Amino acid sequence: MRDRPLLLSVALGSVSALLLVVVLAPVLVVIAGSFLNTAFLGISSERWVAGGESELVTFKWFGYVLNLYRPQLTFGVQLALWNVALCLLIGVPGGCALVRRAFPGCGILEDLLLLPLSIPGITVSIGLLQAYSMIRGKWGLLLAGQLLYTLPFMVRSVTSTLRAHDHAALERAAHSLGAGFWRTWWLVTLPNLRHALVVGSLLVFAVSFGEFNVSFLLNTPLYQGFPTALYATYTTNSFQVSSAATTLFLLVIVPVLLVIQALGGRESTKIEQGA
Amino acid sequence: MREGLMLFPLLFVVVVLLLVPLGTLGWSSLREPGAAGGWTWENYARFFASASARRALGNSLGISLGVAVVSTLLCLAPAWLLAGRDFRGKRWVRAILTLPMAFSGIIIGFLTVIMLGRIGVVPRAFEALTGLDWLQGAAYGFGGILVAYLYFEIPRATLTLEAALRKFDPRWTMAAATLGASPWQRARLVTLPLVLPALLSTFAVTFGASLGSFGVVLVISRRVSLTPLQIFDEVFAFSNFEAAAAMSVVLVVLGFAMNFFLRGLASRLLAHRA
Amino acid sequence: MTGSLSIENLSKHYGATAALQRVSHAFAPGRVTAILGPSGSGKSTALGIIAGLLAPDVGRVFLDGADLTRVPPEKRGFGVVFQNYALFPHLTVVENVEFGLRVRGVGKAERRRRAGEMLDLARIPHLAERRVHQVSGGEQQRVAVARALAIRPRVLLMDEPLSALDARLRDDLRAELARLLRELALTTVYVTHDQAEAMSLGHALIVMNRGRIEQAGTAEEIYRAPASPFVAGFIGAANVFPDAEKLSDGAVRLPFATFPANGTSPPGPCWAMLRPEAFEVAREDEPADFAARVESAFFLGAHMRVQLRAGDRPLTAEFPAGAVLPSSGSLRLRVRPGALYIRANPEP
Repeated sequence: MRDRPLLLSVALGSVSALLLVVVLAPVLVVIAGSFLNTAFLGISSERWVAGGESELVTFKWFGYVLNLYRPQLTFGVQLALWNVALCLLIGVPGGCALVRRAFPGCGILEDLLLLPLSIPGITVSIGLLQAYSMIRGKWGLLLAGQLLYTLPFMVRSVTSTLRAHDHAALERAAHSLGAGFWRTWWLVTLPNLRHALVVGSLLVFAVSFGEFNVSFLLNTPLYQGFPTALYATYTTNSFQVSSAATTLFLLVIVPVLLVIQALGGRESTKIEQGA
Repeated sequence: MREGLMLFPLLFVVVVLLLVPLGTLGWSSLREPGAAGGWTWENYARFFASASARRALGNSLGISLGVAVVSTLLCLAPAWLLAGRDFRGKRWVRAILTLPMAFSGIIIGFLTVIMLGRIGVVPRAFEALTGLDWLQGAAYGFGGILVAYLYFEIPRATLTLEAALRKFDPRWTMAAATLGASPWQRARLVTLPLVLPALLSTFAVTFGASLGSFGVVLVISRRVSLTPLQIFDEVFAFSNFEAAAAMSVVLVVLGFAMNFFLRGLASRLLAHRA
Repeated sequence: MTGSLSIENLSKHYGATAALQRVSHAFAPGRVTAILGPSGSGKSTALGIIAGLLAPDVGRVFLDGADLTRVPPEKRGFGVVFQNYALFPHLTVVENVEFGLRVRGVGKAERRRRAGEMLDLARIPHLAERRVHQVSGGEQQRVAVARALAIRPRVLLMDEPLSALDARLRDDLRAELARLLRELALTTVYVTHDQAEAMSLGHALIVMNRGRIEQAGTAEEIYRAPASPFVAGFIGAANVFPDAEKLSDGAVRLPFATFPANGTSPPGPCWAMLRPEAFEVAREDEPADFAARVESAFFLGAHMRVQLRAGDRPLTAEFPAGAVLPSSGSLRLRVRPGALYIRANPEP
């Protein structure tokens, strides 16, 4: 029961509007740049590859980029899906057990699990490279590094849902109705977690697909994620090719983020993520 | 027992993929280069003796501190609106502001070059409008790097602040008003002390994320050196794992120290609350 | 007498919804006025406007003849007790109580002394140094009252101050609050949706519905002569018949029977009310007004509550606990003389 002071509302609104423009404008410019002929518009860079100046709209750069980076794109998606699968396999039962505090030290384990989010990705990847130099060059190490950064999102998603609903009471109720441990898990716990699992999986996918800090060191020439391909493009290619490649990245990642927002995954996205 | 079975994979990941590598990092940072070497502080000593390493560390810390301050303060505005009010398009505002969440540093670096670079949209528009070329190449200076870092801190700062501000009850300031507090007294005696823990933890989150980031600088300007980039060079240019390990340890310890300090401060303030 | 608070023609809209429509009232100085109504009736909006936390679209607020409508809340000097108390979590109990004195620049020693007095008054001196979250809900309520009173308010405003507490505690605190408010003799506006609270605390009652005052008066006046079917149903239990009719011979026709009635209203459609205690069981040798089927009966200590059905109408009736009710499914009933209340339909 209060009227808002007008001046404050205007101030908050303008700063927010400014931030919205700051976030949105570059994205729109890149998308526009990916199919509009920039030379035609009078923007050009010295690395501009000549050709096609006569038409305003062209989609040929998408074809070029897709052709050039198809291996990285498919590997990036595969890697992200591997992350999702492993997070579901490891994080979901693990998260349930953590909530139950079955063992002393569960709290420490949970803190350790979230630790990677607050230490620089490059240090983790150096550690992995040194500890497991014998499997350097395989993509297992890349997956391992990413897993450290994706797993916390799934586990948080699971534990926050279970803690929010006093899940222990539900399980006791199920036990009192005669359901055993595994049946309870299957019939009560998992259905309650459905939403958390969907949001968690999407988060894991997005984080993995866009991850660069850890991957940069663990990439190999044969196994590279898409951001590494983007980096190569930025350093060697024209503005239009770079724009098309970036737009391609956005096409994968933006729908995933929008679905997360639509599903109300706010609570679980609030964990800090290393960029 | 069954819980043990459920927990084991998690434990395995934490031990094998996190603790062992971090332990290795600490161990090798104290070893002399080469297989036959013994124990030494030399890697740390050399790190702190090197002017370029100190400069890189200064850049990393300076950028992270600056961006943490700026992003925490700026994102207070949208977070306050998102946490406290209902308005049309609220979901879209949140969706747009969290868009950079999954953008890695290199993409943001590219976006910055497009917008603020030599032929960037903003400098050109500015020049066309005013005839001045002040903004030309803004991306490559410290200002451009700050803006780029701000870009990827916006989602983190907004979401962290929003979650914390949800717990702020507007009735607190109303009660203060009815008790005779002027707007300034309300801000100083009620709003600020109650929001401070949220600001501190957001500061910690954004600082930590910036400290380890290097993608932006990788794309924008290799003239500005950062500790993560030097780590990278030690490994790939000089194959000096021990030096890289020492640098990594320094970075992790600094990040931890700041995090520990700020969270400690925030939880001391929060201890006053339910 | 100071503390004569009045509101004039207050209206407030939220978008297209009218929260308050042309509400006027002069509050009795030095007494407690309870505003009673269901949620969304506009009672909290009215309180917010009086406190200065909300600005009315039109209308004015006066205290002792001075127009306060544009005066900000911090300059009104009204004490407010909020629904969930809104105690400052970063301050101790005593710091909460002395907050109003602190922002007025009262020196530390003086404000500690006065805060101490208030804690004594609220009977919680032992909690002074506790943190707000370390005291119970009932104690928080006392802190909130002490904090509002510490500024020696000209008017005390309370928004559902007991609704956050459980039933037992609520009854205890209600009695104590009634005593305190009587001793203070402050002009008090007390908003609640609980009629027992309103009737036991308020010297005067205002019943609100859909942004309007339906009726104002003492609890007894309103119980005896409700101004509308809504008030009849809201204050005490009532069987309300919106579709009654006064016949030209003075009798009143209800859906299931026709009764001779007193009252001077002109013939025509009207609404009628029968309180649950209006009924008595007709003896074998007496004529009955109507017959009703018993659907269920509960023993409630001093009386029996019986759910009846007369024709297709459900009725609620209460009989003394000793009443002999036939075990059969049907009762012959009389309406006590003068118990049938009728009133002309309210203007649409």
